[in-house]
Amino acid sequence: MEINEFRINVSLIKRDSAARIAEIRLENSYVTPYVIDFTKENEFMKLDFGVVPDAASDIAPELYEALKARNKGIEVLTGLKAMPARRVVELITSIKKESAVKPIYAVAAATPSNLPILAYLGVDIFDNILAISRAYEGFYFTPWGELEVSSISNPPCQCEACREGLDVENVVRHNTAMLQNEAMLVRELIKREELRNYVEMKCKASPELTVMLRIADDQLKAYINAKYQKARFQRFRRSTAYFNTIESFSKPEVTYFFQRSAEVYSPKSKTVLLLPCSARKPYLTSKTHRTIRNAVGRLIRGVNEIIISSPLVVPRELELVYPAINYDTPVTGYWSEEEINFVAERLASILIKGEFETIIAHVEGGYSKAVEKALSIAGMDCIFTAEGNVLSSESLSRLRLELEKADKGAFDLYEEIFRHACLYQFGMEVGGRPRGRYPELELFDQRLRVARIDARYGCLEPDFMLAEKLLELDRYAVKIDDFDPKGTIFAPAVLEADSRIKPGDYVVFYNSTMIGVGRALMFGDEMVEATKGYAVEVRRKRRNREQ
Amino acid sequence: MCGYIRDTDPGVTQQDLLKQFYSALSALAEKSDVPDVVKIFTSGSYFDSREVSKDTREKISLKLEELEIKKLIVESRPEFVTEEVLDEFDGRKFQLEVGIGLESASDFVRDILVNKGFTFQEFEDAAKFLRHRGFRVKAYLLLKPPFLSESEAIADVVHSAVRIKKLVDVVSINPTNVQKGTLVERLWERKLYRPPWLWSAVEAVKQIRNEGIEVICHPVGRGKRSPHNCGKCDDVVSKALRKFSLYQDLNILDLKCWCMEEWIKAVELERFSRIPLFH
Repeated sequence: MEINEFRINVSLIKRDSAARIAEIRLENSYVTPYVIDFTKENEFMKLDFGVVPDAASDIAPELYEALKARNKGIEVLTGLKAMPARRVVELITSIKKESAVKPIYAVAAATPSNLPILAYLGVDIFDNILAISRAYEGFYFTPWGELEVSSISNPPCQCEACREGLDVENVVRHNTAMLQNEAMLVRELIKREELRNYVEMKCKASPELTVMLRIADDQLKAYINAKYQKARFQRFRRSTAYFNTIESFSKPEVTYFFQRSAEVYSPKSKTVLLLPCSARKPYLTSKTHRTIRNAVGRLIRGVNEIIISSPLVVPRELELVYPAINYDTPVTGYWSEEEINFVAERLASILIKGEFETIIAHVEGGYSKAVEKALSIAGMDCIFTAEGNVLSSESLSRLRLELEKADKGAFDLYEEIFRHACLYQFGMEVGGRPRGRYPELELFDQRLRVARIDARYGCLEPDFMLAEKLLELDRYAVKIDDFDPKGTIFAPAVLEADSRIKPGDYVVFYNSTMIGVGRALMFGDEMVEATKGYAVEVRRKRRNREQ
Repeated sequence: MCGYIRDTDPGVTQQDLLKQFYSALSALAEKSDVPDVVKIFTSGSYFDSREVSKDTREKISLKLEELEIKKLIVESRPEFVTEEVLDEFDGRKFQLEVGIGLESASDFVRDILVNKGFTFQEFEDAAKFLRHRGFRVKAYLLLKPPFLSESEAIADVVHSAVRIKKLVDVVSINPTNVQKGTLVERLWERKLYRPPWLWSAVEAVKQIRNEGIEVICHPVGRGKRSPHNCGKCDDVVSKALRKFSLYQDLNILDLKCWCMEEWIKAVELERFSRIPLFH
């Protein structure tokens, strides 16, 4: 079979991890995620759909290799409906691993339930083939799942087709509209960088979809643990991370947070105070944390702190880093065994990493259960200072007493916040004098600004000083054509880029005359490969000093 | 994709074959009505002397002449259609018709999807030779080998029939069924294959008949492993196809069922989905 030479252009508009809004041009242009309507002639029909479906690749491997769909510039995947969840995930991620640019079209796969997770994994184009065939079999799509048309007395939908009556043509129209609704919603969520929260919710509609998400997370976890540079996830994002499901504990940014914080954590004292989390983020701005700090006054100086939450365990130094700075978790006071074990294991490893000699736990309820379990894992002891309410005067005076006795180090918390954030984000040390009103902190070296905290994304925004160091180390650097970039750098102007770069990361861009800082809108390898689309949003730039 | 390998027993002797032949005949004799046509369905090659020896063939021919049978139908792969074998049938009192399992006139379908193992040229040579020697030729065409969608399957048998129109006397459409131990069965178990709709057989037969070709079709089996429609109309449609095969009258195939709508969608969409949308 010959490769279909059909020309396809992709232009990225917005990424949310592996999902994206992009303009895909054939003869006409389409905005992804896009649902093709097969009740009409359409130009996608000219693609090569192959003979042997992807779903048969294991049964007839030789025939599959010879007769699979071959198209230049687009991956056409067939038979996903008949494939187990693991293979679907593996197939899509193996394509995304090779190229974040190449669009993926999942043929005859979309339902309102699975469209969001398929888009999340990186599928760009869908169709209404199942919407049509299921309508003919008598099934009616809802955001939740399918209903038998024969069982519906009042259609739970206000679309035009449903108001006209549920004959088969109208059910086709309705089912198609349901898919289009999902695709449009997914687009809005990508804009807001919060597709993941929605996918976690949608996956609860069926065990199969939950399996799909878990496998995808496991796979990303393996990539993250192996420090695979092209892992398709985002470290920093501007949306709130919700922890409403078990799967939310394995969000890739959470997996990354645990791995990275254990790597970079380097406390400056031998004493650590364990505190409960607060609803308000960052924790330091919360009433609970302010009350505790006011009550102990100067005694907290030189003492490290770790905040315990479910599922996060956050050294104070990292509380401005995503997702610690922007998450929400359901609080009932009850901790499940799963939560206790999950948190305890992570707390234990961070306590071991910190090499603490004194541990003071000012926690109660479920928090203390997690602490006790962590201590038994780590083989460490601790002093519990709270009884009942952590803010009661008895609890607080006991805390004061223990803090007075404790061994203290010498460090400035804000300096430590910058140092840890820079280690976390760029793998390098940074120093200087912090200024500003928490959490809007800035770091200065003499009169020059080094970096600032970007509290919206939960990361450090480098200024020129830090940018130049990053460039020297060739980290998060993007080499561009010789021109003066305005608001956005487009992909064709990118010559080289660090393949570690994830969308949302701050990067240093440069050419022979300029240096600048911007926010990546693409993966690093994607910027290099793509011939169109938004690559970097310019934040600041200047001519090279020597010129 | 042939499943007969599992049904083959190398221990069967020529005596066994003859015994089977005679017992089938005696079953007929009991009905007192001696038939005009005898079809020996070997699921192999009647002309392959390793399967049916020259001596066995001779004994069968003599018996058929004795019973004044008018026509014998056998089947064979083209490589066994030799001058020597055909000499055995010269001057017999019955007419000989030889079916050859071409399956498809498309090299791609026959070689790659069916794995048939002979070329179109070999078929053409055998067919021409048979006709030259005055025997009738029937071509078996396979409806819906693995990996062809419903519409591609219909188009393939129709194109095949048209291509061999001048080489054969009759075309027999064989809708695929799912045989044990085959690739098709593994695909079917995973919902990657569905035997053809009976409507597809009807459609193919109509198009082929409209080309002025004599065409027959005897769907075999019942249920999901066999060619089927919605289940409710399967018997009626199968019966109509068998009746059509006798009379060649297209009015017999003027049938209707609600499931035709689903079949039309399958024909329209499965060439894109590459997997069955209806089961």
